[in-house]
Amino acid sequence: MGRKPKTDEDRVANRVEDFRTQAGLSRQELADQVGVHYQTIGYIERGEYSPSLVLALQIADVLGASVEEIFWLEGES
Amino acid sequence: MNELLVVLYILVTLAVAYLWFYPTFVGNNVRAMAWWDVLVSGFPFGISAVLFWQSDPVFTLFTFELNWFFFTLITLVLIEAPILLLYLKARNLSSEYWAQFSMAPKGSPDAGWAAASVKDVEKSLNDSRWDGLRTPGAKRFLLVASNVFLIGSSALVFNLSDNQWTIYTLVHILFVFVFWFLLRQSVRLVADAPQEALDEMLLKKRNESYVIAYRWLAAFAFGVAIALLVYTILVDSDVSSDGFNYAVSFTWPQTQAFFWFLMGYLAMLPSMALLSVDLKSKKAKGDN
Repeated sequence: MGRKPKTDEDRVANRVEDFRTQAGLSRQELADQVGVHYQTIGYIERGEYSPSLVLALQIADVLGASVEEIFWLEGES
Repeated sequence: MNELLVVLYILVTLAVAYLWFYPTFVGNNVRAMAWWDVLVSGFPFGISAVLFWQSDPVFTLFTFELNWFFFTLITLVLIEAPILLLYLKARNLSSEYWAQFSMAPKGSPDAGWAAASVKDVEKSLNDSRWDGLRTPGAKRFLLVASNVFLIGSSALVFNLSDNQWTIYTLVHILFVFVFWFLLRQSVRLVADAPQEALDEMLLKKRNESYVIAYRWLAAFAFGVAIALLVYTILVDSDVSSDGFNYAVSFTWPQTQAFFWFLMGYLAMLPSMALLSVDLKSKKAKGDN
């Protein structure tokens, strides 16, 4: 089985914005806590960037949820 | 004979500097040493100028014929470089000395390459003054305009006659820097940043842009090499020659045009490539 072309790769959907709002955090505050630039949080929330596993775990930790609750592959429920 | 005289006062200057002045007055202060070195290097130039400016004799270095300025410069570099390296090594100052010329933090893998400091990148990432340059339309315009400028304006300078070149070439050089500045602001200095200034997404984008920049550079170098080859053949076509002896000569405006064309692309390609990465990811997002 060959590797899928990049264009066909699964995209990662997320509920970062919902969880962040519930936690009462701004993008800047979340970014500061996980050590990235606030724009990177914006890119993740809009689905324009899929974070590394380390960053996803850090975000989940700060937002008090599991990674699976916040991130999932598009097309999965 | 003049050559030996220049070598002699360079050696005396360096002996005084490295055996007495630096150890006694500068110590381990590498910043002061770099500044004092400008003055120390200027000293042999001053003597050469006084002795040879008027008479302008020809100096021979290996097999090359040079004037007093370039002979002093090259001889000074050849003699001082090993002395400086030995001095730094003896005082264990090498990494500290070279780090002051680097934009990246000490020990960074990008130490030799970064063209923006961590502080400047962080400032630019939080700076909204240049947001007008960061819209998709502005990015597309900058990408096209910088290429049109570099190609079109370089072609214009290339075709200037010697007595016309000064003013237009200075304007051309000024605009090379203007486009370089605008491109860097448009990508928030990310393309030139050391990795310590970037998070994982920005680092991924920067690295992705370098793959593209290298491919463009390869295509660009190929194009320039072919153009040079064709130009050489065209300007030196002589039906009576044997077809193997070609000589290419450039006027000063043509040399300037060529130099700034290369410099412009070398400086701007990473930012141009990053713009294209940004535009592509926006387009991909729009297509989904």
